[in-house]
Amino acid sequence: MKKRRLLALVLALSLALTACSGSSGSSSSTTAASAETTASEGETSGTEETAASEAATSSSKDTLVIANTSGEPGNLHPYNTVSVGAVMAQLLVFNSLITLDENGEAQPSLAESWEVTEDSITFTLREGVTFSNGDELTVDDVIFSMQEMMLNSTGGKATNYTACDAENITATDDRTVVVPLTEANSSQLSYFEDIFIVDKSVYEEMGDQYQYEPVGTGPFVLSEWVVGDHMTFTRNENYWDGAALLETVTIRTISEVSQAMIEVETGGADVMISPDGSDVERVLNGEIDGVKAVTDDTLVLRNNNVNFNHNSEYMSNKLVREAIAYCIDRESWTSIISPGTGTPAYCNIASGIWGWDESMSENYPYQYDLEKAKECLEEAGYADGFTCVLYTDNRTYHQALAELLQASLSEIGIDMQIETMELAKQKELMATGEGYDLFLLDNVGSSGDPLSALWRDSHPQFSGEGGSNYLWYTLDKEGAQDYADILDAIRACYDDTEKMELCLEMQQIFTENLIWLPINSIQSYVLATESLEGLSFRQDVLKITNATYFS
Amino acid sequence: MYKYIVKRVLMMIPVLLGITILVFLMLRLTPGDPARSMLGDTATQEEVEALREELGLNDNLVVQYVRYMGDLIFHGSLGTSYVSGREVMTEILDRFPTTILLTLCGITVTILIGVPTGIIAAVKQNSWMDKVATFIGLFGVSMPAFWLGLLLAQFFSLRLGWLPATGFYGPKYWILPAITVGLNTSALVMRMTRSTMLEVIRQDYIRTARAKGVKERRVVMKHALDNCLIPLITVIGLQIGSQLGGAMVTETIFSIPGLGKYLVDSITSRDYPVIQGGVLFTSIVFCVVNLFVDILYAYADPRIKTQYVKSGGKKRTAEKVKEA
Repeated sequence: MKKRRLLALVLALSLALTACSGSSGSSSSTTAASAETTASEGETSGTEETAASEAATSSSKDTLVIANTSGEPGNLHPYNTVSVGAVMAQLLVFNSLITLDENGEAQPSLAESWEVTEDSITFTLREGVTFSNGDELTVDDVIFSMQEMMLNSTGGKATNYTACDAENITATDDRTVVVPLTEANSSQLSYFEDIFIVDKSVYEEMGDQYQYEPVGTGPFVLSEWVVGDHMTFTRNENYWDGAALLETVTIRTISEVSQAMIEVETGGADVMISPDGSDVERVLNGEIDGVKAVTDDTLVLRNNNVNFNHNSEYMSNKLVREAIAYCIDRESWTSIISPGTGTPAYCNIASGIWGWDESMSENYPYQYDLEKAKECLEEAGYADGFTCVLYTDNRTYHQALAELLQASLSEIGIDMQIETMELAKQKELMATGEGYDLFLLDNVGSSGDPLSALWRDSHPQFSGEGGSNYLWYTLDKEGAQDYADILDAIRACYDDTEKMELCLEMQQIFTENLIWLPINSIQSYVLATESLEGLSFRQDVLKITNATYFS
Repeated sequence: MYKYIVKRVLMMIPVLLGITILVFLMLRLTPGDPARSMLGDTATQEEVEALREELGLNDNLVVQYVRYMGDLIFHGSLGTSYVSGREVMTEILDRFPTTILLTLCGITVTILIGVPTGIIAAVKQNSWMDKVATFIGLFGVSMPAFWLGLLLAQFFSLRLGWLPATGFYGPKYWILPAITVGLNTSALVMRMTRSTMLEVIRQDYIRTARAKGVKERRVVMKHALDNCLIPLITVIGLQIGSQLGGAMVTETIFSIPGLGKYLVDSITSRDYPVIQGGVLFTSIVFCVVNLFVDILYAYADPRIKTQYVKSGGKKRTAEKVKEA
């Protein structure tokens, strides 16, 4: 009898705890689904920012708290840091010469206008811009910033400016800067968005300390940094585009996504970046009161892929690649891999990137068909299947994809072994080109430029020993020369219509040669409180501007 | 007594030296390139190579180790973080007070829950109270910190809205992390208190006290509990030692900027100087706390003090007591 009572007590307590931990949405009243896109109110250009500021002249709340789930940046060095957390903070402090709007079109920022030719890019600077310390922005600051990025930056950033003749950047007057080009690159202008303009004299004077106490022309100034916890930014009263509506922006580092979500739900934070797909789905279904999902159609910049090692005995055989392609059931896999945020992908770039081929989903030659897969494998001489190895990191959506692929390939007799490791280790091992047949790695780009996702991540010139991609799709491989040629042609093309045609052709070459298999695209979201307005993005990084406010 | 302490401090040197070698080798032999982690996905191979050279990662292991120890011994430097470029020692010392505070909060919870439930369970052996206390003990031991932490946050922060889910800015913020850290340990303390109390209350001197007419409350709280202190100090002391090294899971869940979270982050980014410095610092703290616990024995039990003084530290009598 006593034992039964005890058992009943244990069960009752467990049930009580489980019930208590349920989502609040289950009992609270739900509101209509609220997925807000920034298209209708996106403020990326200087002029648009001003317009939005005019529309809203004050904010009902002064302080914005951002829950940063992507890890605290070590520093805010304008040219050497690579983390998302750093860029989000840098966008508060710095400006670039141009910004790209949601369609990838350049819009004025510190440069009022520009002229692009095959030989040079000429920028005309905005007048009357000052840094947060009161110093006036000069052409010297701009030239110095460009040269720092092009000549002294780390993280592979400098490779985006190989077409620029950095040594010979000149100022023709006190408002005009000319960047000579050594080769044609139609996408070159867009990369100037990544060059933050620094105050040359302060930068040189402060040395390493500049990365912890940056001085820029942006709408906010870094006023406090409690390492490991939060960064506080206060309004730059002298901001050239009008002082921000918010007084303070605090970026809190919260590594645990579910905890960040609780903070947003309970009002401890106003916006969180990189939310979990399932949370986005809950918000989109209206299960969480007072929280909205903010995104844009062009924020689909990431593709989740199954990649081949073209050096592998099996994967170098196109019939084997075809067999694997027939085993992919994109439609049903996507809802498992990226619930709420994913769409099936058929192109080598995600749907938010310029040059994406919409018709590919209908014309894709390798729709899910296990019988055809078996035939291909038989034709390749592997009727009894084989054993292969896939490398992946431990991200949830990669794990899900790896397991689905493993199960599907086992149907046609391929025994795929999954080796999970950290990304750094994965890359180190893949740099040798041996020991793996397949690997999972995303490709990410910016909305206006297909080459941002493809150039270094797939160009055969960067494949192989010491290369930046791990496909080992070197020029001697079937179709590689064609693929390299068309990427080169896209780079050199300045006419949009012609460039789009080249992009479509490039995707045909990509698909014919099965260079890798796109599985699903992932849409970026941030989750924010209902009253927060005027959020925008730079690529997929949240951008708080002078026009962000609480309604 | 002083001789004993000096001897123990000297014994720490080979232990710490061993730890530096072990951590150093483990890090270097684990795949994953810190230069690649620092420079990001888009860095070129040449850049990675240049940075490896700059950081001295291409030198052989002996050279790297000697350089590291040289900096540590002659300049008192643990190096600079690869990720942030800041001094590792400064970063550790900045975070240490937070970790101490979390430990103190956690241990308070441990003692408040563990000791009373342990006493009740022993005094009322086999009663329903004993069963409940045993259940709490089992619950605490079996509950992983990451799960308990998330569950507490879901309930107290999201559902009830009483307490914040993250941060460590004031007493209100300390409660959930303290329970997460403390509940697990309190189960150990409860078990230890219960078993020791059961043993002690069967002793002749307890029977004598009761026969003399001493009130039951005084028998338990004074005569019995005093004699349970040695094992309790051992368990609690060890827990303080390990928690001062950073309650990694709890700090990560609740976004507490302590030593544990710092170490976890540095492992992900292969920040060698931080990992090495963090582990070394944690080891020193652990050794010092252990020494402190051993000294406390002397105050809890005068017999041990006499033995320390007599033997000059030759025998670690306390350990024998622990075993007993």
